This record gives sequence, C-alpha cells and structure tokens, in this order.
Amino acid sequence: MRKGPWITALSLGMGLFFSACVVRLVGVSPVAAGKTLLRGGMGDASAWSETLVKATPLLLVAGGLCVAFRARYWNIGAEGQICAGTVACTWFALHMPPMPAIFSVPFLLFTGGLAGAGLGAVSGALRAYRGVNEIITTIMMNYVALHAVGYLVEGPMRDPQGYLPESAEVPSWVLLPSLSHARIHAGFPLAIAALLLLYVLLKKTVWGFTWEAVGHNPRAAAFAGIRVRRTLLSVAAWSGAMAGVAGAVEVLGIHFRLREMISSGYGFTAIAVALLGRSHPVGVLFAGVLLAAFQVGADQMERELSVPSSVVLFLQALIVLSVLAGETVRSRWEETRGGGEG
Amino acid sequence: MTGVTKRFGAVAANEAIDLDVRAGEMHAILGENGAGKSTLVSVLYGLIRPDRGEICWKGSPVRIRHPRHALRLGIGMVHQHFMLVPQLTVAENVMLGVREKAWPLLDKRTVRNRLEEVSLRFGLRVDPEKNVEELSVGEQQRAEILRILYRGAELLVLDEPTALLTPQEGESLFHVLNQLKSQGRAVLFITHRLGEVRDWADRVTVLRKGKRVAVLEGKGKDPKELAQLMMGGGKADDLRVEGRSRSGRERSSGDPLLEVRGIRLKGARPLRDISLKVGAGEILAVAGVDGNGQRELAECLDGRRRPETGEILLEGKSLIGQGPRAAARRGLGHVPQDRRGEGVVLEYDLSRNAALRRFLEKPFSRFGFLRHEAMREEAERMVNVYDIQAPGPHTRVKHLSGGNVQKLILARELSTGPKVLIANHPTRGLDIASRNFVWRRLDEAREEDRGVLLISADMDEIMALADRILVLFDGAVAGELFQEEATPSKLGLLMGGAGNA
Repeated sequence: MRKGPWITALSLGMGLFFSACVVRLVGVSPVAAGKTLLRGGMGDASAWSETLVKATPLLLVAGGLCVAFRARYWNIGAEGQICAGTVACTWFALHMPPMPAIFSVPFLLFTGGLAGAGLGAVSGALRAYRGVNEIITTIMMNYVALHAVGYLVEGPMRDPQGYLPESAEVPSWVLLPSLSHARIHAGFPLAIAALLLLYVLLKKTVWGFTWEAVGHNPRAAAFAGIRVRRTLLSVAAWSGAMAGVAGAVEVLGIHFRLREMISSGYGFTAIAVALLGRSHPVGVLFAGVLLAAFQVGADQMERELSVPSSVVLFLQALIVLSVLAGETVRSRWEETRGGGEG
Repeated sequence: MTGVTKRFGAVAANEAIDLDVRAGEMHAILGENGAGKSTLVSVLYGLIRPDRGEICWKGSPVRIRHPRHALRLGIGMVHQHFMLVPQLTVAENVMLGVREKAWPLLDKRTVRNRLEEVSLRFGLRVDPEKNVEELSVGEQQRAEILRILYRGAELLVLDEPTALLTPQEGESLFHVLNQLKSQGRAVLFITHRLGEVRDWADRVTVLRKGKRVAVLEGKGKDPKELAQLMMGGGKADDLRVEGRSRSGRERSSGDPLLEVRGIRLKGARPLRDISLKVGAGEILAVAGVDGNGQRELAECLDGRRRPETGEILLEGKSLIGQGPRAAARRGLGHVPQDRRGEGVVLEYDLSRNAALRRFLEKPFSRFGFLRHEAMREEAERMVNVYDIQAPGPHTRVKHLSGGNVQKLILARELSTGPKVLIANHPTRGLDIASRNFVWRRLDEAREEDRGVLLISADMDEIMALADRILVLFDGAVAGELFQEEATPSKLGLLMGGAGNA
C-alpha cells in the first residue's frame, strides 16, 4: 500500500550495488568484503560493543540535528560543538570537589551541553537576528573550536606530568559506569533515552509543533504568532547542547581526558545519520547504528583484506548519496500522487 | 495579436484578446489587478504560451518561444522589477548575454562605444561605468531600456513602468519614451494610472477580467470615462450578496471596535498617516491597487509589524507592540493576503492547521503537550460547518484547492468569535462558488455585530459588501466614501491617484 519505504529500500540496494562495483575495482570480492564488514561490525559481542560505542555520540549528535533540521536550520557545526562539550566537561571534572558519580556525572554532562549550546547559539543568534547564513558560521566555528582544543591541550590545560599534548586524567568518581568488560559504557543507554525524549518532544509537544512550523513555513509561523527568530535561536542551542553532551560522554566514557581528535568526525557523520534517518528519532537510531557498524567493520576489512578504510568511507558516502537521492525521488513521487497522510 | 486566450485552471486570464501596436506609437494597456495585463504581455514576450491566438510581427505570423526569441525579433521588455545585476556596471549589464565579434572574449570597448552611440541617439543619459546599485531607480530603469535598445528592440514593452518612480522621474521617463516614438520605435506600456493614459498614450486598450473592453484614442481622454471602462460601471449592484439585509440601516453609533490613529511606517512601501475606524456590525473596505500599502497596513494591524508612530486601538486599548498572538487573543481575526504562503503550513494536515493560531492554548495543548484529539475534533467541526472538501482531518493542506484552504482559514479565524476580522483579498483567485461562500460569511460576521475590515482590489467585492470605503493610494488615504455615494468610476479615480482631477 505505502510505497515510500520500498523506494528507500530500493535506493539502499542501489547504493550497495554501486559499492560492490567499487570494491570489485579495488580487487576484492564484494561478497568477502561484505561478510567481513558485517562480521567486523556486528559479528559478535565485542564487535557490537565497539559499534555501540561508536554509535553513542552519533545518536546524541544526530538527535540534536533532527531538531535543527526540522526547523530548516542547517547546523554543520556539531564537530565544534562536541569539542566545546569536551573542554567544559574536562575542566569542571578536574576542578570540582569530590562527590558521588550520581551527582557529578549529570552535572558534567550538563556543563558539556551548556558549552555546546553556547557555541551553537552564537551562530543561531547571527542567523536569527542578523541574517548571517548559519551553514557558513557553523562550519567556521568548527575550526575555532578544534584549534582552541589544540591550544588548550598544548598550553593551559596540558597535564604537566604527561608526555603527550593532553590534559590530566579526570578523577575516577566522575566516570560513566561501564556496562561490561568491553568498552561499552552507560553513554549508550543514555543516547537511547535521549532519542526517546526527543521523540516525545517532536511528536507530542508544542515545541516540536513550533520547530516544524518554522521549518516548513516561517511566514505562516510568524502569522500564527510563533516567534520565529527565537525559535531559530533555540533550535541552534538545542542541537549544540546535544553535541556538547556527546562530547562530555566521550570524555567520561572513553577518553577520560581532553585531547585532540576526541570527536574524529562524529559531528560530520552525524549529519549523514540525521539525513538518512529523515530527522526522525527512530530513523536516526537505525542509521546511527548502521553507520557505526560500517566504521567498525571497515577497520576489520582493512586488517583482514587490506582494503584501505578510506575505501569504506567512500562506500559510506556512496550509500548515503543513493539513499538521499531515493528520498528526493520519493518525496516528488508523493507530491504527484497527492492525498498523502499528514 | 489576435484572439489570445490563456487559461490557468478554470480561470481565463486572457480571453480572445486582440491587440495591435503600430510603429511610432505609444500604446497603453489599462486595467485593474487581475485584468490580464501582465499575462498578455508575457505571451508577447514568450514567457507564457497562449492556449489559442496568434501573434503577427511585421505582417507575418510568429510563434514566440522564449524571451531570447522575442529579443531577436526586436521585442524588448522592461519588467516592473528590474533584471539588472546590481554589482556590475551599466556597460557590463548590457554585455550580459550579448555576443560581440570577439566572443567568447569580452570586447568592452566596442560595447562602450556602441552604448554611447545608442544613448546619445535616444537621449538616455546613464553613466556606463557606474555600478547599477549606485543608480537611482529612475536611472536603473533607463539602463534597462538602454540595454534593450542596444539589442535592437523596435517594440518596447514596459510593465507598470512608473510603479516605483517618483512623479518627476515618471515624467522624464515618458519624455524619453516619446523620443523613442518619434524615431519610429513602438512603445507598449501597462498601467492602471489614468493620468498617464490621458497625458501620453496615443491609443489605449482597456482590459477587464481577461477581456478587451475597448480600444480608444488615449490622449486627452477623460479619466472618468476610462475609470468606468476599467471598473465595469454600474452592474456591480446585481452582484450583491443574496439576502443582504440592511444596506440602509443606521450606522453603528457606538465606540469603534478597531481604531487606527495616524500610523506611519517607513520603508520601500511606506504608510503615511493612516487613520480609520471600524464599528460593530460594519464592513469597512480598504480599496486600492495592490502595493499601495495594504500589506503593510494589515501587518501593522495584526501585530507582525510595529508602526513608527500612531496608535492602534482594539476596543479602546492599544495593540501596538503586543505581537500577533496577543492581538488574536484579544479578538482580532485575520484572513491573510497570501493564503497558502502565510495562512497555513502546507505540509501540516488540516487538524494542525486548524489549531495553528492557538496551539499553545487550551484545548489544543496542556502543559506543553499537544492534544491531537482536540485538534482533530476542531478540524472535523470546521470541515462540517464550512463544507471543506477534504478526505479527512489528516490530509495535508497542500493537497487542498485554494477555495478549501480559504474556507479553512476563514473557519479558523472566526472560530474564536473575534471582535474584528481583517479579510485581506479574501476571494482573489477563487472560483465563483467559493467566492460567494466567503462573501456570505463576511456578511454574516457583520450581522453578528463584528467589525470587518475588508482589504480588496476587487470592485465587485467592494461594491457588494462594504458599508464604507476607504481608498489607499501610495500609502495614504486618498479618500473615504459611504457605500451609497460610491461608484466604480469615483473609486477608480481615487485608486488611480486622480482623485482631484
């Protein structure tokens, strides 16, 4: 009856087909490559653990991007906002008095979120009140934040006892609890909870209604009495906050200190996740886990089949492109057919 | 042009229109908004393909496929909004799209020399080295004309050429056009200003509702006669809303529901000291040609804009600076001009749009949570009461026809029982049935002792509904009439800015 999902599936299949062709060109059997990829990313418990560890920041960041993208605010600055979150979280972790994790961890996540929101809000305010294109400012803010982290770990926040440019380790009483012997930590259930909350916000509350109204038709929103500028500012801050929390989670769950490249591109991959997931929390959950598994499996492929992992990133881009192309076809198709459900 | 017909859906924008323009002639096309003027010249310039009809150029039939084709034939058009690149100089703008001998290299010198020659010949003084953004509007227009002449246009088509000009600039524009005429070029211009036809046009073609109603000698024509032709005199009375009860009832004597005192707004489309009053059980029509301040006035009234000076009172209390939500809550409904662009969110379904104005309030939300059920019920109620043709409350509004969208908006704006309803071009583009429906509702709103502010450019609508009529011209009140004393020609004169003529 509904053909929408089929078009998505079809375009995904086409993306996989193109990927197979590319793998063939590199000189590896696509079947073997696919098997390795799947096994590497989802083959056993440790593979899953690694995948979910990678998925955690993706889900958090992409969840925030859902909010922004629904309001047609194109925040490309999640990478920088993650950095802001890592810095704030680490600083407070190193300077706060000892207290049980039940208090310290939420507080530190909050500081990370606040820092991300602050950075995001700068671009948001420029867009809302000065009409500056947010794509440009958020991209530029990425550089500001990345290099600021570089400076901090070389200078003010560097651990004087350490050999590497990184901060001292945060105390053990602020860490996110681990879930098993592998690296997976409490950040993943947190991300799931965040997506759940997001779902409620988007579908059941006046905020979701407002965000989407502004995204679809800012003039009608203004006519109806929605404060469009303030809404843009708030979605910028929201999406920044989620990225900041993701940064804090990485510090408290994986790295335990501030260093460069904590994010290593999560902020950008999350854009693909949000787009693939059609800015919907459930879609984001699947897309986020899928792309995380891809990345983990890619490392496996590199080790076993000596396929450079850059090829896998190439394939990832190819698949994202096909699915997005499919989306375009789909929406146009729905357009001509008419009478769709709201 | 003979028998040009163009239909958009069920609406005939042009119906079997004939038009002929002779060399060395200044020809005006006169008509109200929506009379089909722009459609007709768009056909001529190859922007729109006619459904029927024929164009003869220098005696032989042609099919003009696109604007470049029109230009090649020697037909050039100056749009109301100029098509110049502001960052480039006049000479560079002229060069755009022209192939000189040196192509693909730019031959600036040749262009500049020829440009100088052309501008000397026609007395069009523009500095070719100046950036377009530094020029005044009048100069930009001259640059635009120059560009077309440079390309060898023999027929110049101008769409409302004086709309953005000061009276002095307008005057000098027509002197230039006269000069072109005397050198054998033909000029065809669209206007709704009667004075321009009287003073400058050799002949005038009058359009009304997509049909040609007259071709006359232009110069020295009595504006009154032209206005009558343009508006369609006299027969408006037959179009009265059925069952309208009391054209002669005494006017409401109590305090006005809505009062506007001397609001001013700066900007490209300013408002100059507008005052008005709407009483209970009264329809005040604000008439005028589009772009004379109606949109700005409406946005000030509903709280989206803040006038620089002046006061807006609803039931005696100020509305200024309170924003659209407060205005709506206090009893101001508004059916906006651009119903699809600002009245609804097309991607939202009926139920969400039904609640769009009040989704932050009970019953549509509580503690920040939406109550979809209440929204759905509201939408269903509107669908039933207003007979909205839609598959169901979860149909997206983008799939509804214009008439049904308008019914939805009207239902929404009346659902709160507003004290005052602003209806901004409420029936533009609607079919007859929907139009009558909207008219009846507006009349009912008056019966229920609401105040109705009807902003319209449609003469029939104004004559059928209004108790009083206020005419806007150039951001100011050009005149105010009671319904009994209003005639289409009187209104036409005021709307055309010839109120004192």
